[in-house]
This record gives sequence, C-alpha cells and structure tokens, in this order.
Amino acid sequence: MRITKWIGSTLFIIGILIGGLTYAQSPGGTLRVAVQGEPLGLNLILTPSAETYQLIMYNVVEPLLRYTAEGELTPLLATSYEVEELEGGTRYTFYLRSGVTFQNGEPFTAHDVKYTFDRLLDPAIASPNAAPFSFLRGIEILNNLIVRFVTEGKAAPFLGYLASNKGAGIIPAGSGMEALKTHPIGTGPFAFVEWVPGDHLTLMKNPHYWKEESPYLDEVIVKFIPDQAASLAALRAGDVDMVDKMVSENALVLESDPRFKFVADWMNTPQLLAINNARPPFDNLLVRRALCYAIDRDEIIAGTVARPEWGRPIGSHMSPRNPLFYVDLVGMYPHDPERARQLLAQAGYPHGFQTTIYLPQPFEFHIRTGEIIADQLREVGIDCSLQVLEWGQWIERVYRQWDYDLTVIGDDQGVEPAANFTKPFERVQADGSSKYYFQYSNPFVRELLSRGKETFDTAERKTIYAMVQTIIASDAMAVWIQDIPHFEGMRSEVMGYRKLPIYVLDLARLYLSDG
Amino acid sequence: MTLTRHSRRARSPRQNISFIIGAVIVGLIALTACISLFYTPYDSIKMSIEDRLQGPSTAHLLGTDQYGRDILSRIMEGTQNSILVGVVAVGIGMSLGVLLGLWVAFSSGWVDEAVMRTMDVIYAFPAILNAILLVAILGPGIVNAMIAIGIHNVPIFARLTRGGVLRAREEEYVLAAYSLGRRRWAVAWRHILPNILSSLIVQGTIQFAVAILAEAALSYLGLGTQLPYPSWGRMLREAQTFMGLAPWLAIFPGLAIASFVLGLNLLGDGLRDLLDPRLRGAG
Amino acid sequence: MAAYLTRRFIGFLAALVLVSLLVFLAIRVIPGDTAQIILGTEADPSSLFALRERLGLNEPVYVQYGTWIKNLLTGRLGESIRYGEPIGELISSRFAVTGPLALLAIVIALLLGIPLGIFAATHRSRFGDYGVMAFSQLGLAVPAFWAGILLMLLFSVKLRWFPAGGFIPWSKSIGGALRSIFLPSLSLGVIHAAVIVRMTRSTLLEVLGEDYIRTARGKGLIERIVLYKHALRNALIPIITLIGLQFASLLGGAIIIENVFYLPGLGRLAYQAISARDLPVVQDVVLLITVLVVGLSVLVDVAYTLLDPRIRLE
Repeated sequence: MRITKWIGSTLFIIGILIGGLTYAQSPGGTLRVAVQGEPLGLNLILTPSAETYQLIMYNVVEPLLRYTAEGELTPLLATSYEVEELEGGTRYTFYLRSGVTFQNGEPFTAHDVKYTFDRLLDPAIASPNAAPFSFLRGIEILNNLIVRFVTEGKAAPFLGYLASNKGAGIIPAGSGMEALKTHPIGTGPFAFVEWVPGDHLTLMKNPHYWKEESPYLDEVIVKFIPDQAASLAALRAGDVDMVDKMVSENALVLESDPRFKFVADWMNTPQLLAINNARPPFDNLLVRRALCYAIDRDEIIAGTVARPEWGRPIGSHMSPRNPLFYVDLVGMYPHDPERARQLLAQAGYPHGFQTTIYLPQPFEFHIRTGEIIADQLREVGIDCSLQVLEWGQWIERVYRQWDYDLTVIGDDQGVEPAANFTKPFERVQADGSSKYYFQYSNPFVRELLSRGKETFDTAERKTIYAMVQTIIASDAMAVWIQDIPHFEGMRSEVMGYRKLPIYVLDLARLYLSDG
Repeated sequence: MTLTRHSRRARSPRQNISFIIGAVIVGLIALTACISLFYTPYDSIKMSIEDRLQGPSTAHLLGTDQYGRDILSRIMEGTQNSILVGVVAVGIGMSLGVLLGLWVAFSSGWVDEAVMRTMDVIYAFPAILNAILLVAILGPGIVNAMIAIGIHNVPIFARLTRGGVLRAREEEYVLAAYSLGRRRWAVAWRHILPNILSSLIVQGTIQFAVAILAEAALSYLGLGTQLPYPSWGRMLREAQTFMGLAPWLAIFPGLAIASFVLGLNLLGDGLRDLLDPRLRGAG
Repeated sequence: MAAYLTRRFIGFLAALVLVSLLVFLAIRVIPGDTAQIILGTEADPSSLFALRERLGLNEPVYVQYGTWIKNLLTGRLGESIRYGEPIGELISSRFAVTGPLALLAIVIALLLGIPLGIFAATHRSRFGDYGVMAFSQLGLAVPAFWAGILLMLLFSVKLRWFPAGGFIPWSKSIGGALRSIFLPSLSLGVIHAAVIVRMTRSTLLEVLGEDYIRTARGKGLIERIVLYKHALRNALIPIITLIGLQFASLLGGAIIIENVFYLPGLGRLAYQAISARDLPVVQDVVLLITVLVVGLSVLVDVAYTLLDPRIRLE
C-alpha cells in the first residue's frame, strides 16, 4: 500500500512537472530579431525589395497558397482549387477560406483578391513584380468566397507564383498604394505596428488571425543592423534574441557558447562565376569548359565558409535546396587543372590570356570567392585582375550594359523553376541573342522552357528542367560554385525556426521556451 | 622676436635626432620596398587555403591571413604600394599647386582672391569625403585614389608657393632682377623657387605622410588599392572580419602604417629645422 | 572691421554656391542609375521610367538644380529615396550620433593635450619634453581607424567592457549611448590630442620667451605664477581657434570611425548615400558638411582676429 502511494505521488509530481514544462513552452513573449537589410517601403506591390519581402510576406500579408519548408505548395487563403483546361487557356478556380478578417477588422472576400491583382497588373502603377503574371487574361468573382483566374495557355508556374511572387500577398480592397508603403495591412499572423527607418520595425500578434493557436509570439521587433560584427555583439549582449543570416565565422563563435545556438541551412541562392558568353574568348565552348575544370569548389568552400561541411557545392543553375527540380551535376567538371590547360591550348590559348573579374561591393562573400577563383585561374595560365565595383556600378556595367568578362554573383531563387529560368534564358532580342547579362542563347533550351510552362505533369516538368540544367551545364554557360550557406543565430530558448526555400522569414512558428 | 629665435635655435641639436630617427625609419622602409621587388619569404599573392589563419610561427614570422598568405611578405610588398601613392599624390599636389601658386601670385587681386577662396574651400572640405566622391565618379582603384589625394594637396602647395612669392617679391635681389629687365617668370624660376624649395621639401615630406594615411583609409573603405595587391589599409579591413578568430591580423598592418608615418613626420620636422628654422611658421 | 567681415561673409556664400554646384554635378556624373539601384535587377523599363518621373530625374539638369536650391531656401530638404524618410529628420537623428562623438573627442583631446603641452613647455628636461613629444609623434602617426580596431579588440572582444560597434540610441539609454561612442571618441581624441600638445607647447614657449615675461620673472616667484597664468591665457588663444578647426574636420573625418564602429552617424550616412546613389541625401548632407566646415573656419578666423589684437587684419 505504502509503495503504491509512493509511486502514485511520484508520478503525480512528475505529471505536474511535465505539465509545467509544456506550459512553459507555450505562447507569448517578445522576440527581437536583427536583420541586415532594411526594406525600401513596405508595399510589396510597389517594391521588389527582398528586404521588404522577407519581413512582410507570410507574416503581414498572405497569398492564396504558400510553400512549406520542404518546398511543397499548401493552401493558405485558398483552401482548395480546381484547374480546367479551356480553348487556348486555363481556368483556375479558388475556394477561399471563410471567417478570415484583415488586421483592420474587415472581412476577407474574393473582392480583395481581385483588387490585389488588379493593382498588381495596373499599368499606371507599373509594379516591378507584375511581369511573371503576364499570362493572366482575367479575374472573375463568382461569389464572396470563390474567385476564378483565366490564363493564356496552361501557365503551369501560376500556382508557384501565387505562393511566392512578391506582389501576391492579398490586401484589402480599396487600400491606397501610398498608405500601404508605410502601413501594410493583410490577413497574416502579425499586424504592423510601426517602422522607424534606420532603426527598427515592430509587428504584433494579430488577434483576428484565422488560424487557431497561431502565432505564438506576442510581439516581434525587427532591428536593422547591417554589420555582422555589430549584430553578433548585440546577440551576445542580450540586445537581440536572434540574428538573421549570420556569416559562418560568427556561427563558429556561437558554437562554443551554450547560451546560444544556430540553425545551419542553405539560402537556395546559387553562387556562380557568371561568364559573358558573347565576348571572346568566352564565346568559345572550350574556354568556358576550361574555366570549369580550373575551379576547385572544395577549396573555395574551405576559404569562404568557416567549416567546410557547412558548404554545399553545386553544378548547375539550381540548388539542392530545391529538391523537387534539382539535378546533381557537380561531377560533370571535377577539378582538373591539367585538363583545363589542355582545353585552353586546344582553343588557341596555350599561354593563357588576361581577363578581369568584376566583384560586387557590399558582398564580402562574393569578393572572397572571387579572390580565390583568381588564384585558381592563375594556376592554369589565366591572368585575372580583380575589380570591385560599387553596387550601382555593377548593375550599370554588368547587369544593364553586359560590359564585363567574368563576375561572381548569387542568383536568389525560389522554388518554381520557371521563375528562375525565364528571364535569363527565354527572353531574346529580334535576332535571337540574349537580353540577359549571361548573354547565353540556346533555342533548344528556350523550347524546353516554354514546354515546361505548358504542362501540369510533375514528372514531365521534372524531366524538362533536368534537361535544361544539364544542357546549360554542358554548355558551361557559367561555373556554378555553391549554394550560399545560411546561418540563423539565436538564444538557446528560441524555438521553432525553419528556413523556407524562399527569401521569407517565417515568424509564426517561433516561440520562446522559457515562456 | 629675437628671443624666440634664440630659444628655437637652442633646440636644433635635438631636432637633429628627430631627423636621424626619421631618416633611419624611412630608409629602412625604402630598403624593404627595394628588397621586396626581388624577394619576399613567400609569394604574397599565392593562396594556400590549408594554411589559413595561423598565428606567428617560425615558418610564418607574422602569421598567415584568411587565404593562407604570408603576412610578412604582404607587408613587405605593401611598402611598394605606400611609397607609390605617396610619391604620385605629392607629385600631383606639388606640381599643380606650385604652378597655381605662381600664377596666382603674379596675377591681379581679383583672380588671386577667387582662386585662393576656392583653394580654401577644397582644403576645408573633409579630405575623406572629397576622396570618396572623386573615387565614386572615377571608380575605385589605386590611380584614382592617388588623383583624389593629390587634388587635396594642391591648396597646400599653392598657398605655400604664393606666400613664398609674395614674401620674396619684397627682397632686394628680386627687385634688382626686375630692374635689370628680367621677365617675371624667369625671375620666379631662377630666384624665387630655389628659396622656397626647402619649405616645399619639408611640406612635401609631411604631405607624403598624410597621403599614406589617406590611402590607408580609402583602402579600408574598399576604394583604394584593388585586389589582390597588398595594401596595409585593406589588410586592416579584412582583419576586422576575423577579429575574433585571428587578432594578430589587425596588429601588423597598422604597425607598418604608423611606423612609416612616424618616420616621415620625424624626417619632416628634422628637415624643417635643418634647412631653415625661419620657416617654422610658414605654410 | 565691418568691411572685413562683409568680405568674409560674401566669400563664404560664394564658396557655398560653388560647392553646391560641384556636389550637384558630381553626384550626377557618377555612373549608376538611381532608379535601377532602388528597384533592383528585376525591374522592367516602364517601372524604372515611372520611378525616375516621380523623383524628377527626367527633368533637365538646370531645372533639377533650381528646384533643389529653391526647396532648400524654403526649408524643404526633401526626402531620402532609399528610406522614404524626410531628410531633415534623417540628418538630425544622425547628427545625434556624430555631434556627441565629435564633442567627446574634442574633450578627450583637450584633457590629454593641454596638460601634456604645458608639462612639455615647462619641463625642459630631456625626459619630460622628450616623452611628451614622443607621445605626440606617435599620436600623429597612428591612423585613427587602426586605433579604433585595436581598442575594439582589447576592450570589446577580449574584455567585453564596451560594445563591439553599433549604437544604442539616447532615447533608449544614455549610459548605453555613451558607451557606444566612448571607444570611437577615444580613437579620434588621442590623435587630436597629439596636435593640441604640439600647439600648446609651441605657443606657450613663444609666449614665455616674450619680453614682458622675462621682465616679470626678474621680479620674483609669486609674480611668476601670476604671469604664468597670463602667459597661458595668451597661449591658449590659438588653441581655441585650433579646436574650432578640429571640430570641423572631425565632423567629416568621422566617416572612417563611424564605419569601424558601425555607428549610424552623419559621415556614414553620406558614404552610404553615395553608394546607393541617394541623390537628395548626398546633396543635402555634403552641403551641410560644407556649411559647417567652411562656416566654422570663417568663424574661427574672425574670432582669432577679434581675440588677438596683435594680429593685423588682412
């Protein structure tokens, strides 16, 4: 009897302790996050700023669908949808979630969806985010909770765009574009409170949010700290709880400190040595392939990432962070300086040649990569001079005028491959030459890409994009190096962080384990 | 007035020490630059990533940087960079400044006033901001940095020259030359310039030091000497990123800059008191 | 006197006009399209054109200049393209960092420089004078940003007494703000102290060598102390003008230190605005710095003339 009582009371106490612990992990609290880049206005219809996107999308405004951390599409404001093929077009019917209200209390209906896309595609507003939706023919409201889009052709990427395009977050009908620049309103888990430019931005829990028990945090304060050393210092001093996108050296510093932890992931941003395919000697396939063999990805990773295992080499214009479509082509050009020299000799450059690599100013990561690449190319006889350009100059010379030999840059990608491949590989001038700074033009690739937009069959799409990647890699259009590592540093008590495959900081899942 | 002169001359022997120390330091650095043209312990540009971020050791006396390059070799080659910048920047400043100063001193009061006020503005304006704007227009790089720094030197030499000319104009030998019918420019060239030469040399030494500091600052901001050539200023910028992991990276480049500038300042001070103590107040 | 002041003032205005023109043209000559930088690489031509239209960049250059000057005179500084914030507020919040930074640096420089300069002038022994002059030479040779990095290394990274950069706003915590600017101010202050030491020493020596001092000395010790005070007062006049010039140069020169310590100050604003091609900000800030710097040097000249009756007016 006594023993049973003993066991009983022990279990009871344990039960209370467990209950107490789980209760201590439940909602509440304020989270202070340090981010590097500051938004340029908070209206996602008006600005292409990635900094705005990462804070406002999914947190303040919500689109009809969203991506999970694994890159899959799930319902958000639309609970289900139907796709019907018509003559020369497709009809997408979305059934919207009921009982949703905006942060200002207004109910969410199909009118808001139509209003959002009307504004996004309004030529008078000239939104920088509208171009992907050029295949939209019309939007119809069937009733309060059913909205219908009609597209030209199959528009297979449409669903992906709905989940991730910068302008796809639904805003209340009748909202003024200027007002939303400083006070965004949406249906998301966090409501905008204030923005003090140069200092911070505050979000608070949306009491009207449609999802039960979400978000966990009461308040999020986003601080703009552009410098890595300063944000690390702020974290260690207790001025912030989380630092977004730390450099690997700082993650290393946190490793030995039990008060902190970091989540290591990749940004889904392929880093590449971009080649001007239209400019000699790089118009010669042999030369481009020589570059591929000359580059040692592992050495670059060792020199740019604090721990080599945190690096991830890539061999094509995509990252393994996009598992649905990625094809591993790292083995296509192993590091082989001898082979590189042979190819150069074959191409008519037995003694190598001189060239310039442009490096974009604020991006230390690319600058360091460029330095290492120059060293590796020197090994095979290619004498590189390095020139660091201010961002404005880089955009002017490289991006707009295509006036460069080589450059190192990252290509920020989402999940939908059409979004990543359309601009660089599909847009051409009248004579068939490329309108993009890669200056790569391949009619077969173009055909594949337009077919990729016209089929809904996932298996077929995967094959198509795999072929595109293989062709581009085989053509050595560029030398792909690595997916840029992503480190989120935080106090040990911050839980629930997961990196999404798009440039969005998902705040709803975060909670503090000390209550 | 004589009393102050007396106390100044009493200090001359000590200033000679200043000259000696300064000359020794500058000499050593110039020597290092010459040596580094032919030899450095390691190739200062070649990377060796496996050896990155090592502390000072017998193999690498000053350690290695984030790419495994030997810091001693990079500092040695950095002397070439600094000397080049100093020479060109002061060269530009001196040549343009002297010409301008001569022209202004022989011109009418209105031209004099306008040009000198412009010089004042250029001089008063923070040098760094000047340089940043110029480099933004011309593009980053060592040449443009030298031009930017050189331009900031022009007002100093212009003012010096102008002052020297105005003073010398009152001297007897100049008046005598005029009365002999010599033309103004010839008089300037043969009589006046040699007299301000010593103050130009002294000022030149000091501006050399200023140029080195300015180039270091510009390179720190990423606007000066470009990759991968060693520049003490940029080495400091890179060192800051790795402060937690490799603190020694921040010490040696700065020490190099400070030593060179110290040597030049001491040399300038020493020269000033050797060549002509009277000119202490000029320029 | 009045004529001199008027001439100086006109010269000042002329300088301002000249600089405004130079800056205006300079920022427009810099390659890099503002609209493209703001809208990013994905923007298409129509949205670029629309933005340029909104910013008034499609107008002819002289119209843009005229609009800018007109707005300035009516007190409208315009809006930052990058932040969307009114430039006036931007400048005042940044000045709240740079101003105290420069002020604290001067204070440190004075606290260090003047006593050391007096010591050097009065202790003509080898060690006293030598030691101080050596310190002063070192102070002049050390680059400010290196001093900053070393201080950061020791006091922030190793000892953790001060934050390793970043700025805690005055509104948040006065102590925090002071701690944020202490190391930067120290870096700048020590170097300016070196200049003050030399100046103090040399002017004091000059004054002490004057006739009336020698005569007074002959009269006895107590008098000497009193005269010493007189000597000091006269010696300090050039110091005051020097401080004015140093304060002015600190404002602009803080760019580097603000970069080292990641302080959101005026210098850093100018630097970042140039990179971002934020034309309105660059124009306004550079003009402001010019006004302050040139204005201060004019004030200093005038003050010097007023204070020291021995100096002839030019």
